[in-house]
Amino acid sequence: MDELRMRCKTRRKSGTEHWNRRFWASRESLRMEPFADVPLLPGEERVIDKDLIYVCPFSGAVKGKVFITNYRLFFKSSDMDPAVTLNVPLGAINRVEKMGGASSRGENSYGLDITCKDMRNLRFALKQEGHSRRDIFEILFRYAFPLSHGMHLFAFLSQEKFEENGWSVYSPMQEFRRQGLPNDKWRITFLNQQYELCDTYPTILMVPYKATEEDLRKVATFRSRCRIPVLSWIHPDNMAVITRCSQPLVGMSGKRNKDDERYLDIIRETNGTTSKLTIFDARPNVNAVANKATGGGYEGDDAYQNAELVFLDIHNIHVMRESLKKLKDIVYPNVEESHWLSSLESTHWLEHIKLVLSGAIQVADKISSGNSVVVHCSDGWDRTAQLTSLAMLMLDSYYRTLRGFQVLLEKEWISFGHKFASRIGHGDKNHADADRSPIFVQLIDCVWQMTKQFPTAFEFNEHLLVTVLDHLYSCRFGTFLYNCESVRDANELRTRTISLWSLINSDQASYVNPFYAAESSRVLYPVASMRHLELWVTYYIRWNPRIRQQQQSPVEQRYKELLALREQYLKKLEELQLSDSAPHLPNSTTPSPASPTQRVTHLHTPF
Amino acid sequence: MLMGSKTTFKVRQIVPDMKERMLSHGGLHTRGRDMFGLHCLPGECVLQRAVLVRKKLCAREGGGWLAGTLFCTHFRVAFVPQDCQKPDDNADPVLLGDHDVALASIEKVVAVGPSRTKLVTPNSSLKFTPEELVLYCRDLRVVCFLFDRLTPETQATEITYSIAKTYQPLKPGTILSFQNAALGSVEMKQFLSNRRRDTQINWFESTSDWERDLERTGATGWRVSAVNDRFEMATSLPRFNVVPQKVLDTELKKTFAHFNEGRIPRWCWRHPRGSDLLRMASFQNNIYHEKDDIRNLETLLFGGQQQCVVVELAEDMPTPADIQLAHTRLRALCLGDISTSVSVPDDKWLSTLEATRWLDHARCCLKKAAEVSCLLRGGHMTVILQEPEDRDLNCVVSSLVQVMCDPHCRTLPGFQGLVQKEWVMAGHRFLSRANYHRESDKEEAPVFLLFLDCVWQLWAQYPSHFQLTGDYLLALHDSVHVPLFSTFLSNCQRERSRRSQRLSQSYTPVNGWREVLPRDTSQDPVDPPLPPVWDWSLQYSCNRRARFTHPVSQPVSSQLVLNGNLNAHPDSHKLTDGAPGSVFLLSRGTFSSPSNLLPWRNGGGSGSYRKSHRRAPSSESLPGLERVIKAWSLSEPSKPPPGPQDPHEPLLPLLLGPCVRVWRDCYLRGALQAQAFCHPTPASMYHPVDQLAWEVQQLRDKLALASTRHAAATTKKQESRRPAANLNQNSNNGTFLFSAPRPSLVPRGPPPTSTPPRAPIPAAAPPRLAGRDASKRTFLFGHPADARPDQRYAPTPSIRLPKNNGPSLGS
Repeated sequence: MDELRMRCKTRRKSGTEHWNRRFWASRESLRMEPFADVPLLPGEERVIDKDLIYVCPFSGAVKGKVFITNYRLFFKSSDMDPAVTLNVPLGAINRVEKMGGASSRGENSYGLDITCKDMRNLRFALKQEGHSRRDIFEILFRYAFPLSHGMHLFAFLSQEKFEENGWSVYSPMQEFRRQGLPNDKWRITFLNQQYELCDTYPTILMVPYKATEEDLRKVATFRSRCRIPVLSWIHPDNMAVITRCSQPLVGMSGKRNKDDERYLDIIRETNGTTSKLTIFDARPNVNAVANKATGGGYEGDDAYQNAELVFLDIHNIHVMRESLKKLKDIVYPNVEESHWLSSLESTHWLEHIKLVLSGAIQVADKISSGNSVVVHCSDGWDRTAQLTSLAMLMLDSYYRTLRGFQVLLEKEWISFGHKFASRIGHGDKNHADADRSPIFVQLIDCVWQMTKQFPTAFEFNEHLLVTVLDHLYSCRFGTFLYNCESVRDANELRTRTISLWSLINSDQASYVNPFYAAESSRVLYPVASMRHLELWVTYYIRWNPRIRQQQQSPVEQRYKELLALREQYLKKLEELQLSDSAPHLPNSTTPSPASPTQRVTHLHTPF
Repeated sequence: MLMGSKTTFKVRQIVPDMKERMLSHGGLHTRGRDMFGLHCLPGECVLQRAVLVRKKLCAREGGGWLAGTLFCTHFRVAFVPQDCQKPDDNADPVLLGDHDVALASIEKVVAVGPSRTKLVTPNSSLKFTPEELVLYCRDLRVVCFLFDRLTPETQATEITYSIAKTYQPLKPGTILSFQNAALGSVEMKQFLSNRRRDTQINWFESTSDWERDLERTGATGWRVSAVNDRFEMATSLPRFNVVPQKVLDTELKKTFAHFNEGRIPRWCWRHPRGSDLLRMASFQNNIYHEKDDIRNLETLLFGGQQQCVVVELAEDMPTPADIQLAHTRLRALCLGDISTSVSVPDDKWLSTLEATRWLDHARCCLKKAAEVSCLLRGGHMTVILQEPEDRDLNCVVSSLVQVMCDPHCRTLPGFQGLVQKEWVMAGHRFLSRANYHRESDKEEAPVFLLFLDCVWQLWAQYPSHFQLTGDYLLALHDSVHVPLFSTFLSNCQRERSRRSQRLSQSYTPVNGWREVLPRDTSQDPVDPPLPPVWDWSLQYSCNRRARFTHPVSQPVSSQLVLNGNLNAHPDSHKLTDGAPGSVFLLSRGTFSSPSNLLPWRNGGGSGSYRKSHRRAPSSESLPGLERVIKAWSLSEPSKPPPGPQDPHEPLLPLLLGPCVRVWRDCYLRGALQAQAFCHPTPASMYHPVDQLAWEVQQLRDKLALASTRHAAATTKKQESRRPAANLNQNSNNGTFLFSAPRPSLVPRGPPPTSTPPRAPIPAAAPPRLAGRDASKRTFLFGHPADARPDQRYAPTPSIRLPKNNGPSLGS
């Protein structure tokens, strides 16, 4: 990382002033152009604007003007003070539909209906004359779904520049070195250098020392999509490991594969324990059985004698999608008062969160007691990624730092081929695609639950989590584009787009939790009970103006004030002591001593 | 202050046999009374003891287990952590230690054996040695003790029996013996009778108390009437009541008959915009209205205002019975009960919680209070809360309105004064509602607990607007379940004053002659004097009390004098478009002006009231009032985050489903199953803000000290010793945490700021205070090396903080 940072620095020096100006221009663009109708990012271009009515579900119909650029939809009211604005990245749009016809009656019944991926819907009304919506509909449709129209995602058009280069945040070698790898039990294999072993895995893999390249190839034939068990994390003391893979190809006939069986046994042995290897199958038992029909399955007892298999009952992507859809129905636009809790229960969203969290807790618990684990689901890129990354977050305080969290996402999600493109549907018009699912949203929700239960354990704050989710959809950065590393390489993602971490690491202060207290070697076990999980109101219901937006909570603000005050006092004290040791200094500079009454009433004095 | 009496404390202590003494770890010095570290109250007997016990700490306390010794006395179950500091012999008695449970607040005793659990009653016999002892408390705590393998089996069994035999399920008569166990000793009585009242609180017991509040709120046109001084007019009303100046006492006397229980409209509070909040019971309908009476009744209702809105609280609010039912369900839901093993499956938690309707009831009270707050903000009217008896929901709503609108009521003394005014003095039937004596289950209803929940909701939504904390609300919540406090043991001021009268007589026998007063059979002339609940230092250690207030709260000027003329508000709705003398009814969220609202106006054109009133109330002003209330639901959202804000803007609660939440810290304290995976230590014990604020305070003190020293040093240059050296000496003297010898000069009341308000917080790294927690949590029975707080605290010399003001204490 240091090398890269150095490179980054030198590049910056050569960029000189021009670079700096661009950087500021991009970061401050919203403020730099106060007179423009619409804030533009470098590389962003206006496409069309139109006068229409925004039918706001909270404050009624608002007249104004909508601007569409190649990055966003921007609306500004014309006759309201303060102005009502909307700022929606086109990437967040899930679906655009025409609403009403030329003959439909009723006020504001003719226009556009826009469904967003970020838990809101927008409705614009136009005049019912002369196909007034045709041009805007077509343009919006093209620019919101550029990949369906042979156009580029905005990430490839953006001219933004940042101080930091986010692509250098994660390097697999460096991360393995941090974990103390390779060692005498684990080695790096370059077998997948050209993605010939597995096209959805990263190029650098950590495998048991004892397994030969030939073994790996043989194991790959027995694992769905060749996603063989590889190391994700190793415990620094007891050397227990988290490994991840896809389901074994057992099939209806109950096939076995000696190489796979031996390979798992090698993994079990690496930390010298004699206890069994625990295989966590994230699926419900029935689903695992059903997968046999399509050639998949799970590790049977007789074949894997030194392993115990645990099903974690986490449902598949379709169940999660429907659950979030139900949640959206109850949070947008209207939120109930008295029957809220039972409605929330009927979405099952928190229940799914609970199952994911408690699965991860079980993984972490096994690891801390010295047993290695293998985690898989069907393909090993959805539930598996959730479980491994959450378990690592519980076990390793590094991942709870701002940088470490970025590394965690880059590693377990991006490099190991969570199918972001399919799950999110970047730039794709097919909104009903069955591959779409909020698996990553669910992960971030789980992380948020943990930050709530351990308010001092995470260096990053809620704002970071919301920003990550916003740019999961926005297509402004390359970070979450495409399904796997091989496709990213083919599209030269790292050279042609900017990383989200560039934005975040150039402005770290706004993403830092002031209450963070660095602590190592503590395993965090969140309480995974419905009694202690909460709905992430400030994300899911943030569009509702009646939910208070706490940009910065008063408590946080107070904390910062106190920090400043402490600084000030420490400085004064130091001065005082300095002046004491220099006895001839006049003491006029010292602050006047607080009178006794002041001391007693300090609780009430404003700082 | 009763210093002398302490020397007379005598403690009957069961002498432990030698074997047990061997088992107790050697570090403890076996000295008479504080053997094994239990600081007994005067007259308190230790009935049984078990050594090597671990107490399960809840998440709030840092989680994990704490090792120590368990005691059962005839007043409490006490737990003394093994590494806790020596009790100070000269300290004032504290009823409950940080880990203690009063016997009267125990509801169920459950023993957990190797393979079974058993509910232990006074008559049951155990067929196994308990490994775990679980106490289910009325205040929703679940306290869990684990016996070690090394705990002698007889001790484990015996203490379980002792607790089961002594805890006494509440029923007539047991309260008294509990009170006697706690406060019955001569020393304790003497101590209590010499106790001084907290002068920061307005007790609302005298005329001047009320006048102080009138002055504070800037209310003019009102006076304190002593017409009920002997409780002749209305038995449940206090001695002093605030009524319009225009009404003379002789006129006033005639109005009592027109109201249920004689509870006439009385002034509660004035909003800074000039509206007055009043409360009253329902009208007596079958009574003839004399012409003069009507004039006085009208004056009572209107005060000096032009308009009057009657807010009907019986219609759409939960009844006490509803509240009781909801609370019963909530308890059943929240207490994961081992003995009956009936617990709600986790996936049905949300809907079951909803079905208790507890949150609905809280929302309903908050909503009503918010509506009333908005009305008051509208300016220049009287808003009268009306409830048939004026003793339950009127208390809830009137006090919630003041918490929302009056920053003073969000401070600790202000809030306690508020409870005095709107609950204690106003005659909320605490005794019947708490039903300590199990006399009438029909009357039981935790109306006050619902109010505390509502305040918690407000606090949770606006924590920085409160000086008091969730810890305080929790402590108050728990105290309601300890039947020791005069505050909660009477139904009105009359009962309370009779009791204290009798007591004072019992202390000063007058030749055997005694005024014969009708008295409850359960009470005895030698009843101990009961302290008010506000005497917190009697109940809790200073560590616990320090967490009752935010170390740094928003500036709240408690002496704020409001003149009632804050009308410069730009969008103040002009509401006086209704004709003078209009009366409106607010019920179910809508306004109306029914002709029978005021019974005496019913006659229609009888000419019995002022001419201007004869006109039918104009309905034109209804939209205006509706607007005021609607403004609340609409205007709130766009409000920017609190900056320098108008302190008189009410804190309006958000009532959407996700915004009214369950008070986890209170109701889910005992949810043991929730911690199944919880290995030692979740979140740190203190909020980082508290810790930092404490540090800043230390620095400030130190700075003040250093600069005085500095001044001294510069004047006496010849003196060679540097102040810095002094500082170090001081801090090494170990006075950092528990300033052991509290100088007797330090007055009671708020703890002096120089004594650290809470556990030591290592500078600059708040959660590393886990150092202390970790030592507590240790499973081993031995003194961790860093047990002494002063040793643990090892900052760099530059931020070494001196304790106890001044060098005089140092060397």
